[in-house]
Parts: sequence; C-alpha cells; structure tokens
Amino acid sequence: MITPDTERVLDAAATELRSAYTLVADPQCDPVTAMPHLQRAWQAVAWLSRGELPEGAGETLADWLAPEQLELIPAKSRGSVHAVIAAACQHAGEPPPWVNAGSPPPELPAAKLLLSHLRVLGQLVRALELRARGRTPKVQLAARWGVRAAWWVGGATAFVLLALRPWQTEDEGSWRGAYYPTPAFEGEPDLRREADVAFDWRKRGPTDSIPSDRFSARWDTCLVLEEDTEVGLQIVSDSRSRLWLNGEVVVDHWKQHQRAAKGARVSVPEGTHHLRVEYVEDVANASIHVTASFDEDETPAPIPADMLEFPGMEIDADADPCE
Amino acid sequence: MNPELPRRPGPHDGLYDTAAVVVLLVMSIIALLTWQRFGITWDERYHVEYGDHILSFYESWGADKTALTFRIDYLYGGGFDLSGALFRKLAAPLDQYEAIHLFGTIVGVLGLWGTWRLGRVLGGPRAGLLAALFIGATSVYWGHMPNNPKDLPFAVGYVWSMALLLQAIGTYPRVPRALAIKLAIAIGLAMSVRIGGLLLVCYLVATIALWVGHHGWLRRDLEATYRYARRLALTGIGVVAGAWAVMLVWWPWALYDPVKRPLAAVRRMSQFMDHERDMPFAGEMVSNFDIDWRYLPHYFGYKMPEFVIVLFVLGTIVGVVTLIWRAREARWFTQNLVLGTLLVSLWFPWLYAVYKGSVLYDGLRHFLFLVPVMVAGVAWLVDVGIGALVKRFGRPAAVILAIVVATLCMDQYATMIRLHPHQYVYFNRFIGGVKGAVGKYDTDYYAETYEDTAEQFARHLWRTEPDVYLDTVYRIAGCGGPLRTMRRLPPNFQYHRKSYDFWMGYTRGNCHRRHRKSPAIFKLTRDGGLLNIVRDRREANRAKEAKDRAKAKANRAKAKADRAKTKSNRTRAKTEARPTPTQDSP
Repeated sequence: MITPDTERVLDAAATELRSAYTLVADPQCDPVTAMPHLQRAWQAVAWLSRGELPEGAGETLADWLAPEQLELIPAKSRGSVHAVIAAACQHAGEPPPWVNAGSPPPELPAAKLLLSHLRVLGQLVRALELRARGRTPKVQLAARWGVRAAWWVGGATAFVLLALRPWQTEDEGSWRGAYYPTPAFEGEPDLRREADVAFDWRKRGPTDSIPSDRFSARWDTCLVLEEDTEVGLQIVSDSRSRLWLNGEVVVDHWKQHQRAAKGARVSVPEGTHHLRVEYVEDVANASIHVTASFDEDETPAPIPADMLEFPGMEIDADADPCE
Repeated sequence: MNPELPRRPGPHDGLYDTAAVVVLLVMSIIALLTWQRFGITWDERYHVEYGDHILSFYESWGADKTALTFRIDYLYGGGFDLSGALFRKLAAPLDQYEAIHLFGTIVGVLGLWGTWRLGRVLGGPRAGLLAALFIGATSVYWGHMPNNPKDLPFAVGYVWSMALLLQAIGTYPRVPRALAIKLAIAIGLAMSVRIGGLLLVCYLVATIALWVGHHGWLRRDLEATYRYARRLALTGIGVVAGAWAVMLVWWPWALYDPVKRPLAAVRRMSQFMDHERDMPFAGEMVSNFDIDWRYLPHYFGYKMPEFVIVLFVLGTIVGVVTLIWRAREARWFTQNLVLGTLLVSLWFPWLYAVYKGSVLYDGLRHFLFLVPVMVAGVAWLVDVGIGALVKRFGRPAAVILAIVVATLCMDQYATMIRLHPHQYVYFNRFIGGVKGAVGKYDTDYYAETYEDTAEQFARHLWRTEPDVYLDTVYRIAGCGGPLRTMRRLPPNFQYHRKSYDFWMGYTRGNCHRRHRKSPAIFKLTRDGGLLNIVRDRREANRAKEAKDRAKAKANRAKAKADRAKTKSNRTRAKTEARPTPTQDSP
C-alpha cells in the first residue's frame, strides 16, 4: 500500500518529468527552462529513494540514490548522469541575469543527452513506484533480465532451428521400391526407398533410366499391427496392379485398365505382415495410389509411417522379408 | 515511466499485462494448433504464384519480369506474398498451401498482439487486456487468419501502424527515433500488402498539420509555427520515406517508377471494376456495381459480435461528444488528437468508399483492416466505463463487470468453436446467425468450405457404401474448381467438369441450387445455415444413360427402317423406271 505522502511525491515526480520533457522537446523553448523541473524531479526521486535531499548537487550519484536504486544505473553511466544533475542544480540555483548580468551562463548538456537523461530518470521513477508497491529492485532487475534472457534464448533457438531445419531431413521411407525397365519385372531394377506408394507420373517414367511406357515396379514393406484389425485395402492405378499380403494376392487389379480402383476388406491378425504391391504400366498415363483404412470410420488413406517397417534393400523375391 | 508519456502505473497494471500476455499466448497456441483445418480460398493460388514470381524476379536479378505483369496482382505489393514464398521454402516439406496457411496464421497472431498493443496505447494495460480478449472473440478476424493473403496481412499492418501512430502523437513534437523507425516499418509493411495503406500516411500528415497548426495558433507566432513545422515535417518525411522504401522492397512493379506507379495503383484500386457479379444483399440479388452506402453498415452490423458493434456505435457518439467537450481547453489537445485520429481511421474509409462509389463485394473482407482497430476502440470504451463504475461502486462493480466481460467473450468463443474452421462465415444474432444470413448475405464467398465438405463427404461415402467405395473411381465437380474440391479427397476421386457422379455447390452464385432434382447426399452446415451441399447425380446419370440408350436404340431402329424404306423405294423406282416392253405392231 502506498502512503499518501509517497503517492503525492510520485505524482510530483511524474509532473516535473513531463514538464521537463515538454520544454526540452519543444524547439521553441530554451532547454535551460527545463532545469528547475529537472532539479525538482530529481529531488522527488532522492526523497523517495533515500528519504533525504543532498546538499546542492552532491558529490556523486550516490548522494541522490540509495544503493538499491543506484544498481539500476550502469556504473559507467553514473558519472554522466550526475553531471547533468549538477548542471541542472547549477542552472536552477543560478541567479537571474538581472542580478548578475556579467557572469557567463553555465554550460548545458545537448538536447539529445538531456532526453536520454530524462528516460533514465523515468526508469528510476517507475522503479520507485514499483518498490512502493512491494516489488524490490532485485525483483525488478530479475524480471527485466528474465525478459531479456527469454528474448535471447528464443531468438537463438529460432536461429538454430532455421539454420538446421531439422524438419527438412529427408524421410527415408519404409517402402522398398524396385523399378524395372520391362513390363515383366526383368532387367536390372532401380532401387529406391519410398515414403509412400502414391505416384502420378502421367506420361513420364518413374526414374531417369526407366522408360515412360512398358515398365514395371514392385514395392515391399512390413505392416505392423498391434491388434487384430479389419483392414480396407485399395489400389487406384493406371494400368495393372495387385497387392499381396503375406504372399497372397488380396487385391487383384491385373486386368489391363485405365485409371480405376480396386479394393478388398481383409481381417489381418496382430503382428508383422509382408505387404507387396506390383505394378505394370502399358502405355500412356501412369499412376498408382495405395491406401488403407484401419478404422471403419476413416476413409482409406496412405498407410501411416509409424505402422510400417522397412524390409531392407536386399531382399529375396520369394522369401518373406518381414520374418 | 516514459518521459514522453509519463503515465503513473495503476495498482493492477502488472496483473493486467501478465493476464494479457497469458491470454495472447493461449490464443497463439490455439491458432498454431488449428490452422490445418482451414480451406484454400479463391485468392490464394494467385498470390502463391505471385510470390513465386517476385522471388524469381529477385533471384534472376530482374531478368524474370513475370511479376511485373502478373494478372492484376502486380498492382499489389508482395509484402505477404514474397515473405510467404520465402517461408514456404523454409517450411518444406509442408506443401505450399499448408505452408502459406501456417505463415498466414503467424501473421494473424501478430495482429492479435497488435490489437493488444493498440488497446494498451489507448487506455493502458486493462484496455489492452480487454482488446486481446475481444479480438480473440471476433470470428471474422480469426476465420481469415490462415487463408486470406491480402486483407488479413493488411489488417495486421494497419493495426500495428495505428498503435504506433497514436503512440507517436503523444510524443509530438519530438518523436523518439526508435518509435519513428517502428512506425515507418509498420506503415511500409501495410502498404506493401495493399497500397490503401497510404491512408496511414494521410493520417500521419494530418495529425502533424493539426498539431503544428494548433500550437502555432496558441503561440500566435510565425517563427514558433515554423520551428514546430520544421521539426515535425522532418520526422514525417523520415517516416514516409522509410515506409516508402520498405514498401518498394516487396514490390518489383513499383520499383520501376517508385513515385508514379504506387500512386497509379491507388487510383486504379479505388476504382476497381474488374469483378462484376450479382450477390445477395439484404435479401435481394443486386449487382456489386449498384451497391450503396448501406453495404458496410449492414455487414459490420451483422458480422461483428453484437456487443462490439453496439459499443462501437455508442463509443462513436461518446467519442464525438468528448471531442467537442474537450475542445474548449487547450490542455486536452493531444488526447483529442488521439481520439480524433482513431475515430477518423474508423469512419473515413467507409465514407470515402461511399463518396467514390467503390465497387464492394465479398462481405466486409476489403474492410477487415477496420476490425482490430474497432475492437481496440471498443476495449478502450469498456475500460473507461469499468474505471468509472469501479470508482463509483467499488469492488463489487469490478467483480460484476469481470463476469459480464467473461460471459460475452465465452459466448463468442463457443460460437467460434461451433463454426470452426469456417469462422469467417459468422453472422451475429441480429440477423439470426449463419442460418438467418444464408440467401440474404454472402456467407462462404471465398469457397473456403470445399475442402472440409469434400473430406466429410468422402468419409460419408466410405461409411455408407464401403464395398462400392473400394472398387470405384468417383467423378466429381463443383463451383470451387479442382484445387479446392480435390485437395482432401482420396485418390479414388476424379474431377470431371462434364460428366460427374457428384456435384458440390456452395452458396455463392446459388451454386448450391444446381441439380436440385438430384438428392443431397451430404450437407455442410454451421449453426443451422447451409454452407455447402453435395448432390448425388448417379441416379440421374443412369436415367440419362438409359434414356440415351433408348434414344440410340430408337435412332438405330429408325435408321434401319429408313434404310429399308429407302431400299424399297429404290427398288420400286428402279422397277418403275424400267422401260415397259412394247409389243411390236403386227
């Protein structure tokens, strides 16, 4: 709870600060007119901080501020802050020109310096206000440094993430793809790991060395089920395709066709199962999409990667690579 | 305490600020967890392409000039589009639309924070907290966040610019350099999305002129006026030049004539005549060329939360009265300038559009930039009201008012949850919600509902006819075009414009009324209002095929009969043409 006295002095400090700022900021006013306000603002701060006012301008800033407020001003700046206070006191206490017209006016800091000085003073008034509300300077400092640290840590983390971009590491995929240059799965295949069997090559070949027509492809993976599941399997292809589960053809789409769908619903027991897809492209457009549904409410979709295991690149065409 | 604006902190300021930060963080997290569900809108494809063209303009050192003539988009800066193109590269492997939606969401979240900032500048921490709560409860803003590539980023630039401009007014005649730089960047970014951001420059110039004029008049001294004018003119020139430079960076077309071209874009945009269409308005179908002054009042009246629009009208009256009341005393001048700028920024765009007879369509999206500012203004009014009531009635009033504010916001949040991910179709209770607005006003004008409809429709088919589903490639068409229709459909769906099994129609252009005789197999609704419908054309196709077959059969039979008839005629003609043997006379 702020005492009425403290409240009044804080109000006075804010008013003097605003007046000083208005006069310094106004291009039409000589900054010297702001000096009495500046002096009174500092006196309010000193009263709030130390409970007493220094003699004149004091020797150092420590004469104006208690150690806990002094800590808020960096040690290297304290000298210049005190120099401005000294100038302000000197001007405020200077006899008017008609009293001693002969003496030269004391030198004033530049307007920019005065403005930054006013900002420092503003921070002090705020700190004193917060102290009056129960927040010690240490807590204030900790809060300030906490926010700064959060910005730095956040910025550094963002920078590192953007530099490394871990989300762009290539997913190697759990399907082993073998692409043959003939429609009869003959010849030296191009082997690749694929994340999914979802291709729409149109009139191009699947790889640089495979022709766009009359080629074949075979994909193998291991499907891992944690419980017995009714699975809906579907192939949408142009042209021929078929899907094998544990060595048995479950979706036979081997008749020559343009883009068409074929599917089956099969009960698959818990465990690891070998899934193979074979495809032959005859002429014109080429595409194949393999989807599966493991829940009667969800439409068939590409099989999630976490349900698949990669069978390895070197597999025997007739053996079960998932055993 | 800031010496430029030495406001004594209130006893609960820290609490309000902390609460506002927590509220905004929660909102940001929610936004970043829910953006995936929003659909692609009409404008997005072109803005994605435009972003790529601007990027390739810079990558090729200006050799690729496609961005300079790309559709009508070259008249827009690429502030969002170019940044989006860069972000899409970073966000790979997200596909380009997912990435741009995420980017849009991030920009939208910045707008939430900007609204808080504006509220805080206007009325302090409590007003900031209220502004954050209210903007989070504004469906029309939230619903545009992920998928509006120009109106929403512009709104974000606008609200930040307004916050910084109003803050700067309080520091006249010596605007701190850091604040001036921030203001220049904010205005520049707003203009880099829509050149309409030039309004902000006008506000800046007008406030400077008023400030100088007022203080010069107070001093009644030409030299003083000159000094004020010089100082503020230098600041103003610096801010405008900085903003102009920021704008040009994103806008290759404007780079070729940095002064004339942006101004030419302003002229062109304020007389935008490229889209002529009929649309529902106040229950009638009208041409967007025949729209009158009622257009925006209707849309703002029905699309903003009820309490926001009521308080906005009340706030305008209170604001004008306050302006006139305070004008008697010079010491209120700065506060009046802030209030006046806020009111002008909210009313002038509408008045100007009415004056110019601008072509308007698509609900209030072209004026979306007013929404966050309006919300912040309302938050300020509520803050002032709360302050007065608490001062008069003490703590019980504070508790009651907190409950009222929480109830109003919770009501809106509940509506937003019901509407998700189509929050932008929101209509308030004054028109009877979305249900009351369908047919009378534009709801889903952006074709945003297609993706959601397609996904749910496919699920519906799978549930109802799984065996047919597995063995069928369905053909589908709709007014939303292949991009939006096909995006979430599984591979056994094919877009076919002429021959299709299903028709997907949203409400714009009465697309949902086509094929009315075919049964509706799926309807996407929100709050009882129809947004999209899928009609099953299979039976009609089968009937048509049967009819065609019968017709073909009849044609074949007719052709056969014709052929037989022709043959018989020919035979007869041949017979008749044969010369009759004549008997020799004896």
